[in-house]
Amino acid sequence: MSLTVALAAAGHDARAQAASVRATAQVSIPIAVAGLAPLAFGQLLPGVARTVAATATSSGRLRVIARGGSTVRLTVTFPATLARGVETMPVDNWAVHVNTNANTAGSTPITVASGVPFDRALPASGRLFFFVGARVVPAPTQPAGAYTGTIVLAAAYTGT
Amino acid sequence: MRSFRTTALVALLALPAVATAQSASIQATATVVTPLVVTAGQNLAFGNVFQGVNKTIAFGDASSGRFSITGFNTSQVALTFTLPANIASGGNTLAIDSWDVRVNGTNAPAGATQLSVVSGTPVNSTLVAGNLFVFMGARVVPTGTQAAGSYTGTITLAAAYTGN
Repeated sequence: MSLTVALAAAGHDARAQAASVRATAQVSIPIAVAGLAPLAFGQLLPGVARTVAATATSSGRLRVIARGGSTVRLTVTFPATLARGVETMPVDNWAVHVNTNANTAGSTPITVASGVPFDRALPASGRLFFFVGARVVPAPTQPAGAYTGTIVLAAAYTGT
Repeated sequence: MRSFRTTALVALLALPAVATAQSASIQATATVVTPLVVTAGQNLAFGNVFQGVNKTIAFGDASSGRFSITGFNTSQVALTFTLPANIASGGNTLAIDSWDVRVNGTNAPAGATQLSVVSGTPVNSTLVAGNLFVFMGARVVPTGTQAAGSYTGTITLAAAYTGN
């Protein structure tokens, strides 16, 4: 003897029909941002401004690695001064180039405003390299010593 | 056979996209070297001067005017001299001219190099191991009726790195 308990919603017979679909998702690789080289102005004479071009050997270098073909939102933050204790020295005329490899040759200048996000599509390789130059302006009475500042690059997927 | 409807429920749970920013930083670095320092050494002293008799102090004389400059290594510097056309005693003036300005890497006039100096116009020179010494001579031209008294004037030297 068997008991058959039928639980049925309205319109269903005892034998449920079923189908299934799959829920799928592909989690992209996490974005990786790395600082590769400092922007090095070297020795400065008081009163003599110095510019390091974005394509110079001593320009700053950063790299973004993300899913190839995706679009990332980038934000670069530049310092307004370099500092040595309480002493400061203006830095301006920021210049940024971008390339899909680590070489400045063939790099493309891009317009970047400090703190203002901009979107960039990654190549199939998923790698973008950024080259940063600027100008530093020591005063004629600039105290001697080592001055530093920090350049920050932030990146996030846009979802496209 | 009773028809049936099969209701398939497919629940799609959509999680809101959260874009977490990743970041990295690099440093911008610079080293400011020794600033220039200009020091007045000694006055250009003509001593006693007689009416109608010109008197010249050569750059190498013991009483020639002296400056010293210190700075970084063998940097090129722009020197700007402000030279008076007269020295004065109250309302009386005594003409001064024929400036002879020379520089040397050591604090000795022997072997000093003459500069072509125009008052207010920069002229370049080069530090020697961070030093430069300036020697100045000139001529005063008292008239035959030059009023007696002590006459003075100011010679100014400004220096700036050229970047070369």
